[in-house]
Order: sequence, then C-alpha cells, then structure tokens
Amino acid sequence: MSKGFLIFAQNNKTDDYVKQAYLCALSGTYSGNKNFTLVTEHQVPQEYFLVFDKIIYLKDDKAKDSTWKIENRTKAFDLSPYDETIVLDSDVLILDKIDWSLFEEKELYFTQNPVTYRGEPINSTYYRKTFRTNYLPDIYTGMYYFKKCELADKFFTLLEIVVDEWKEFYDIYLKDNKPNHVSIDVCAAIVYDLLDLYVPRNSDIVNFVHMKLHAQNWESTNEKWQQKVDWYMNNKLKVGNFTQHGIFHYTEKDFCDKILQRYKECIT
Amino acid sequence: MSKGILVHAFNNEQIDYVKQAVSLAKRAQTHLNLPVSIITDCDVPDIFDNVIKISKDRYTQKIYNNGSHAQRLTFKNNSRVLSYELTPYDQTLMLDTDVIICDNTFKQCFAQQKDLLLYKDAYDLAQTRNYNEFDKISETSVDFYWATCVYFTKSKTNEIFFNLLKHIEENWQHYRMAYQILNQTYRNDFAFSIAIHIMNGHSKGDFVGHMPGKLFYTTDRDILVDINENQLTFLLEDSNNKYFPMKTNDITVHAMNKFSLEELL
Repeated sequence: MSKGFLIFAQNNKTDDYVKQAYLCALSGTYSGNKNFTLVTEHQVPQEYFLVFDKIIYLKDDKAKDSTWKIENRTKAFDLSPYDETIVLDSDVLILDKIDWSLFEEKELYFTQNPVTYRGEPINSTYYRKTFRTNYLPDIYTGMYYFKKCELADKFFTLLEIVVDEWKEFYDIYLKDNKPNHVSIDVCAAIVYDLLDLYVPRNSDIVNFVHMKLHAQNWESTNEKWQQKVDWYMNNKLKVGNFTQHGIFHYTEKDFCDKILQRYKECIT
Repeated sequence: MSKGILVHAFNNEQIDYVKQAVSLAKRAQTHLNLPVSIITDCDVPDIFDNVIKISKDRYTQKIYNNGSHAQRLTFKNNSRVLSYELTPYDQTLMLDTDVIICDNTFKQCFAQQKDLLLYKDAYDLAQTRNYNEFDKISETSVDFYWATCVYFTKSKTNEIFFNLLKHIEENWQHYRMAYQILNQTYRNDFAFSIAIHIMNGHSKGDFVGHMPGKLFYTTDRDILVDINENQLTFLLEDSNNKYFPMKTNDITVHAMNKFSLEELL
C-alpha cells in the first residue's frame, strides 16, 4: 500500500503557496517522512524537485478566478497517486515522522482537536463561529487522511458538488455567521454532516498546532503571533519555549521565509 | 532513609522569618512528627534538627503587602536552589515559613514513589477572586508551579533539576526575558516552573508529581486575625476590595501576609 502526502498550492496575487508547499515537504523530509506530491498549475523551480516525488500540474483549473484557490481541493481523491493519503495545507510544517499504522482502521479522518503552541485545547470560538452557531461538525482540513475506498470516493464526489454550489448549500446549512466566500472547512463539514460521519473525540492521532492569533488562549493579542511569542529552532522548533510536535500550522506567511533557509541548511 | 522538613529563613528589615520557622517547626512536630532543619544567616533557637548557616551576597527587593498597606523590603529568597546539596535528609519536604500546618496531609509525601512533588494548582480561600497569575508564569509562558511546598528525594534526576535551578537563578535576567516575565524580581515559583518545563523537554509532562491534598492560600492583602490551635480566622479581601471573615478548621494554609502572621506568633 503506497502512502504519501498531497499538498495543493496555487499562488495568488500576494502569496507564494508553492514555496510554502516546498517548505512543508522539506520539513517533512527533515523529520523522516517521504513521498510528497505537489498539485499546482505553476512551473516549479528546479530546486523544489528534490523534495517532491511527483508534481501534478492541474489541467482543468477550477480556481483560476478565485481568491482563496480552494476549488481544486475536491480533486484530492482522483489526483492522489497513493493508496493512503494525508492532505495538508501548504502553510504547515511536518515536525515528526508520521506513524501511518495509527490510521490503519480509518478510511477518512479529519483533524478535530487542534491545539495551541502550548499543547492546550483552543478555548476560543473566534474562528469557528460558523461551525458553532450552525452545529456543523467541527473538523479541520488543514490535515486530513483518506484511503482509496468507497467512502472517501463518495465524500469527494459530494464535496465537489457542495463546493460548486456553495452559495445554495450555505443558504440551507448556515443560518447565522455565513461566510461570504467558499471555505473548504465549511464545505467539508457540510459533507461530513450529510454523510453522518462526525464522531466527537478529545484528541487527534496527529498533533495539530494551530497558530492563528486568536486561537492561543491569550487574553490580549497583537497583530501577529510572532509579535507575541518568540520562536527558535535548534534540532526542534520551539515557540515560546515549547517544543512543537506533529503538524505546525504557522498561518503567517512571512514565517515561511524566515524558517525556509534553516531547513535548507539542515537538509544540504 | 532519613526524613525531614527543610525551611529557609532569612530575616529582612521588618520580617522575622526565623520566628515563623520556629512556629512551623512546632506544628510540624505536632502534626507530622518530623524533624525540621533550617537554612539561615541568623542565630536561631534550639528547636531545629540542624542549623545550616549560609550567606549569599545577591539579594533582591519586593513589595510586601500587609492588607492594603504596601512597602518595599529586601527579599532574600535565592538560597532555595541550594536545597538539594544542603538538606541533611534523604527525603525532604521543603516548606515556606508562612505555611501554617494544621493537619497531617504532608505525611503522604513520604509514602509514595515519585522523587519530586509540587503543587501545580492552589486554591484561594476567598474563592471569588481570579488569580490568573497563578495559572501561567506570564500570559504567553509556561505553567505555574508553587515552590511553597516541595518534596524531593536524593536522586540523580533531582540533582540535575536543582543544578538547573541554580543556573536559572544565576542567570535570572536571561531566563526572565526568555520566558516573557515582566517583573525583574527573582521568584522561586518562576524558577521552579521554568526548570520543570525544561526537564519535561520544553513541553507539558509528568516530570513532577502532585503534592498530596490541596494547597489553600490567602494573599498578602488578606489578614490573618487569629490562630487557635488548628482553627485559623482570616479577613479576606473580595474582588471589590471589601473584607469578609472566614474560619478554617484542620486545613493547612499558605498565609502570605507575613506581617499579620508574625503578630500572632
């Protein structure tokens, strides 16, 4: 059974998501993982080829005119070259070797319990109002897993329909706090609900650190988490003197440039 | 295996820590039947199992409250990190002198397997106040542990732990900035919290066990009014700065107002 990571990265006017995907794969390689596939529509710099075992260029780019560029994510099932796939947001670091055997019993698995840099559950509902007020399954697409199986096939088929017709689905499912753009988290949650897949749990198989500013259980906040706590990297990434584990969703784009060089030095 | 209690008592301009230590030693004898050794730079009454005299030349200052009255005094609190090398016991219970022992809960320390015990949580007797400062050592930093009551054995790991504490104390300005602590004053609670965090591999972990029972405390803005055997009477400040009375029976309390404690001894 082949296993690997799938990262969608389509640059927009302001952000270089392909570079983030490169950093993601670089960090994963550094922590002992292998098999990274990039899905993009851009030409990729030669040095990036070293960390990706496959680069898939989108033929039918459904996100051509989109700001958030999430429309192609519904193709994960069809595009993934692996029997077992972990799909990652591009702006994450993989800090540990993923133990795939932990997913043995799973067909489709989403992150449900992201934590702060201190490893604590996130108390704030700041970014999750849509989910809470509309009783949507509280899942995150920053990291999820699927096997090539009937259930996952059905999930992605439905996901494509929901993403294509997101306004109609939002009208039905979201009475309050309706986002004014298509969100892959919200659409995935709607499909999860349609298929009645949601089972609440207290922790995740893979630790997922969510570094969005208002998710850190701080009383006061600045504009960026990097203004609030320092970070450094020796053999492990430490934020506010806490060793980070699992998947680290750094969210702030300039963090990528700051840490990329360090990973390059480590790998070469 | 020798067992005993260790206290540190360094008087300053106004507070007689030795007097508090004498009271603690008497209560320890009554409730715990344990000898007490003292680390001090003063002459002390002949009540202690061992008198360990040391003097340190680096002292700091802090604000001492006595109810609503505050004053800045010398704070000689940096000998605590030497406890491992100075204790005469194999199993040591180190206590602040302002802990008023009223029951035998601490005995359980000596009947368990963990080499190091501290309280992570403590309970405000007033109950209604919100002391976030005792949750983390600063808003963005690590979990707060109380150095008020520490149980430790002689072990290789604890030797490393106390050596680390010494290093943190000696380099306090570096560590306070690295751990986002605004106040410049060296504080044992903070140093212990940082050392525990490091010993846990810069994560949350189980390096430290929990002290038995609960640690109840009153702040230095509260007033201890009476000590009658194991019954303590306090005036506690509520969140609106009004005072209300409270009595405790057979509960050990960390009474932080050293002025009102001393008046009753």
